[in-house]
Amino acid sequence: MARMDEMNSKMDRAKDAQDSHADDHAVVRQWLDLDLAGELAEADRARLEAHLEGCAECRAERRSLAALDDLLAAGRVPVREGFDAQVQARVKASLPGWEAARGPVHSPAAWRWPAAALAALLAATAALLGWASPELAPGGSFAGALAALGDLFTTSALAAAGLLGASWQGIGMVTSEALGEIPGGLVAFTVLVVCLNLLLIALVRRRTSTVSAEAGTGAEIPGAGDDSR
Amino acid sequence: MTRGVEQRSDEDLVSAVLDGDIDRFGDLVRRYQGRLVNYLYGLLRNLDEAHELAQEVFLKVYQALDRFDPRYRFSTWIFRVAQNSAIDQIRKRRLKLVSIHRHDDGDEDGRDWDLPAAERGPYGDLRNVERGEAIQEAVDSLPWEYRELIVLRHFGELSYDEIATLKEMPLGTVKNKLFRGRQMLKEKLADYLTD
Repeated sequence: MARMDEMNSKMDRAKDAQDSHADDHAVVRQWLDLDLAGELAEADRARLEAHLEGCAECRAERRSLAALDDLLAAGRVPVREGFDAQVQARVKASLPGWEAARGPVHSPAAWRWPAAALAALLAATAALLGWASPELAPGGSFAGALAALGDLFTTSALAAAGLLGASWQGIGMVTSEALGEIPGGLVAFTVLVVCLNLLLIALVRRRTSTVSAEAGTGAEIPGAGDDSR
Repeated sequence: MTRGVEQRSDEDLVSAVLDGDIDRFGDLVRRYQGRLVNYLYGLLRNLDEAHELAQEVFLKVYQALDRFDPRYRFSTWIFRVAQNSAIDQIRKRRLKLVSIHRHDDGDEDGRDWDLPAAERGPYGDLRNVERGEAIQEAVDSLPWEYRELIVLRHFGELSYDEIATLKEMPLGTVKNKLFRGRQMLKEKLADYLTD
């Protein structure tokens, strides 16, 4: 009975050793993989090297994995020549251009659409007046109707100007009254006006620096684009 | 003393670009162009498309550079843009070649990806062509979850950490999946591995 126990015990130890050996190899294989990737911890590397010294199978596995790395590296494709220059050209072209920065106002060509719209408006007005002239000037001519329409526009403009003038006069009266009552009101008002002017100057200078960047003296990086995160 | 380009970190170069030195973006392009083109080629399997999309990625990155958070790595950021762009491209083109079924084992979703099979590769002589095609075929035949990581690691040349950050995956999972992916590749490419 004691001998039986001893035999069973030996078999169990042999099986444990086998399992342990298999486990060791499974772990070592993972270590080999990580080691080749430069991801293996120092402590594990020392144990790996110690294992490899006595295990031809694992040394062969390491060579095999290294060969796989080399093979995959050989599978990389070359980048087209001039690719980086193309990208830089596209990047620079994506910066707002001088024309766009100045705005269409300064470009003669940009006036063509407003000019066309104005011409169309005048043509439509002429056509309308030609049609409506008997109604506008019952006893008169097309020229009479045109004059009547002109009078209408003039009167409207004068009324608008008068209203605007009256408004500003009113604002001025209220402001001067208020400033008179508030201690230091005039100073505060002056400071406010100065600050507003400085703000305007800063805005104009910012726009000017954007324009000079496009000319190649620097770069203002556009903030637009996809949210990449 | 001016540091050489190779020594300057990505974040340094980004700062320089944001300060107005647009040529430093060219340095970033040269640093990442190989990895990006190869990563995109690994997914799209069309070299022209990979180059075009890589250009688009660089452009997008440039346009969003002022929003780059230096707490994160530039590499993971640019590859995230590339990944999203590649996915959009694949969806847009609706290529009907190889269909890789994605296993729904707790990943984001169980999408089926219609991914292109390898076209005639850009390799030179016949032996290289044969080897190149074998590599492509082996990589393409991997289940999507392994293929993606293999492409990121071996063609995008990202570290395990970077892959874990990009894929929002635990580092241990990345290690395990790459190990299994490489074991599968080793078997498929056994004929090409010299001992």
